Amino acid sequence: MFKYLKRPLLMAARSTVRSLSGSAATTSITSSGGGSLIEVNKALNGWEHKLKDAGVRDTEFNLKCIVSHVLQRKFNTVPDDFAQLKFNAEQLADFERFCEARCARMPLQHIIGEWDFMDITLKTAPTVFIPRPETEEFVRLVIENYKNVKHVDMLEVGCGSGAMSLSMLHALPQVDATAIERSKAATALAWENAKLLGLHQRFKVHNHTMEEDKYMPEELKDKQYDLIISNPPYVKTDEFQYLHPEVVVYENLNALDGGSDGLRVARLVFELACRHLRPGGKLWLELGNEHPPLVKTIMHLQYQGRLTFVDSYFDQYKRERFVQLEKV
Amino acid sequence: MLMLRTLARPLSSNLCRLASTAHLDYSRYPTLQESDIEENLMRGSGPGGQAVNKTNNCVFLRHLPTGITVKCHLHRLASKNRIEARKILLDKLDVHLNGDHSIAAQMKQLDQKKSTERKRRQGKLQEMKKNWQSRERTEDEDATIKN
Repeated sequence: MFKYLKRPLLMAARSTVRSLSGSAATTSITSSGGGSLIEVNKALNGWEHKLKDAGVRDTEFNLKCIVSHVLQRKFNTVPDDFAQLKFNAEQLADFERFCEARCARMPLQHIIGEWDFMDITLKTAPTVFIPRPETEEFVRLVIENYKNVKHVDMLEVGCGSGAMSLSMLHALPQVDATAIERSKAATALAWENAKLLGLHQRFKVHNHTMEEDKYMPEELKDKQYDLIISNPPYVKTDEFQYLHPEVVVYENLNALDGGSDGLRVARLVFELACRHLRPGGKLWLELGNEHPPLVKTIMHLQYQGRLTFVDSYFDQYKRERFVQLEKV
Repeated sequence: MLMLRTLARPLSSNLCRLASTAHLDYSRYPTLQESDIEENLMRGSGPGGQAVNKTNNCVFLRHLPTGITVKCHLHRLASKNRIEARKILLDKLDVHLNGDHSIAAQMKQLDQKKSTERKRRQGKLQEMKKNWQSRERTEDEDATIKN
């Protein structure tokens, strides 16, 4: 994983060399043969400031995550004041490297190599989209709707790290999941996460990019599903200018770009659903802020007799972003 | 949105310790109505969702009828802190509404009972030891006198 830190570190070196005036290591390590320890609170000295200067918010939280990761301890077992915690020389070096990377706006989740999603912890990897908290609410909603269903053949379009499918599989033993994903890195990561979580028996991921007239890969062209879920890229092209560096530099724009109205990829999913959802089967989508009413209109205008708009739902921030459609 | 059924019992390490002997009375334990809670969920203004990767894990709850507040940032994930905060709020409500009959108070009483019982037993043991030792000494003394 460390080889991926070279680029952000170079960027950090170039852009922050002035702010790191003097020696970078303001902490001194007495090398008296055999591990000398440095207090975490001493090692932290100055980093909160540097992070803030680099434009990072929630600095205390970021630092606690990094400290926990370096000490290989669970976040909720580390005291907020880091009392009595110490780094050895190697840990100190890691800590400073991770802080530098964070100053270069590398996402926290990429630095610590993992992130939680509902009741599971997923491995993260550079360029692969990091699951958002809104998506947890989305999955909770879907689970609620399917927890009493005997058996579910599910398809996920654009699974990324595997967050949605794997948390569904973890919660509901009656679900079998297939996923398609355009990014090779994400496909590999999703499979790795499935194995790490012991869910690989019920999960298959195929590296495939949807296009008109080739919505599914060859091996899945005749498959039908009870449920299709997707959090397709839905950011509008003209919103890209507002994206933070964590998102625009380190995550994959393919995972975000929804074209001019944000629904370019969703439209491909509608077509896929028409061909691969069983009658009565459902399509659940997580989309952007203003999309549900647009989707309702599109269904009425273009999908009569094929797909119907069932309902829309709000995320935990009270934004209407989730929709449920049904195959006629 | 949240499954409040799962919050019926408080999360407490003490509970695990007392599990075998606990006869806790939950009959007065309060339930939480989501409509009574005000929650801060800060995702900031702006689009949210895919466009943003902010990591705000802190959850504030305010119980409107009583004014009790809870702040929780124990876990990395805000969704976990939302659940944890509700558990803490339930415990606080319990103490506020039920005082001596709250689960916390009951556990404290059980703890004290255990500790006084332990002290009583230790005291008894010490007494028995002393009696045995003095008996042994007098037997020895008798033995040496005879010889």
